[in-house]
Amino acid sequence: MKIIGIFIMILLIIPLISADVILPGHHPITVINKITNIIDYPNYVFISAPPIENQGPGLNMCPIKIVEEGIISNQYYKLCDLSIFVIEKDKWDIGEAQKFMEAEDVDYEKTYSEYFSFMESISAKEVIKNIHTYKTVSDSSTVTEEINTYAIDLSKVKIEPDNVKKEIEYLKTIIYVLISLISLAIIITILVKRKK
Amino acid sequence: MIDLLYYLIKLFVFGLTFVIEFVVYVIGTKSKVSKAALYALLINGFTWPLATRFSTLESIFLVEFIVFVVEFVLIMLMFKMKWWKALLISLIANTITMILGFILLVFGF
Repeated sequence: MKIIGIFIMILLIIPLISADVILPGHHPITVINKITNIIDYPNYVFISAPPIENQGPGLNMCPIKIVEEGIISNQYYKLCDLSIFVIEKDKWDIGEAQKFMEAEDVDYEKTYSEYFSFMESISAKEVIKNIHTYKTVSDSSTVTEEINTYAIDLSKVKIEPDNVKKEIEYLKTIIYVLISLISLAIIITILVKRKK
Repeated sequence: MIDLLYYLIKLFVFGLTFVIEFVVYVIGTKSKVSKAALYALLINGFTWPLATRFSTLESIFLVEFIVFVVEFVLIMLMFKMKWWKALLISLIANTITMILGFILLVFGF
């Protein structure tokens, strides 16, 4: 009985110890963020960039990127919290913007201060907030991809996508359940035959 | 599209689980090697896929406990053993495989 007690203790303690050490059970999925009606705004440039009020990890990790054909780049560091800004084409200064598209963040505070001034100078208008390009799901999740779509309205700041489409993969789950069911069926057959 | 590498890795992990539990069954039940191998394959064939597919960081302890209980019942029924012996075998087998499982998780399996 003592041995059983010790094993029960081990069984209880090991997961608690391990939970702090490792991060099992989750994996990243592809996140695609799209603007569906960018074609309606031919006189504007759309950019993804850090929000004005939140400095985030730094402009070298979360630089300004131009939104092309409605696709918001997901080539960002996973902790970037992004916004979408619109700028009238005649105010857009690609030369000056380049500085924040390839920022090195040598002086974090100075770079941000310049970034804020730049955004103000070109009258950048925030139209979408809280865009994330990285997401993890549980290993048991069947979701493989998440596509968030936004329809721009220049008079609003959207904080959530208009539509979230999730690509789901059922095959793995079906295979696992099938193997399990076949094994159970054989076990039951053996037990029933033995009784007869 | 079937991810071949994914299934090969899972097959390897299942193989390890099977071998460990099979050895514990042979020693614990003193039954024939072929019988222990078949029963280890069936018992693990039932519990392992479900546990692997549906356990998460949050539920791993609960899933491990359910597996331990289910295997205890199956060992008792299939090997026609006394309950406490089956309990001990299930406990030893699952403790070893759980420790192995955590080691493999650290290495990304």
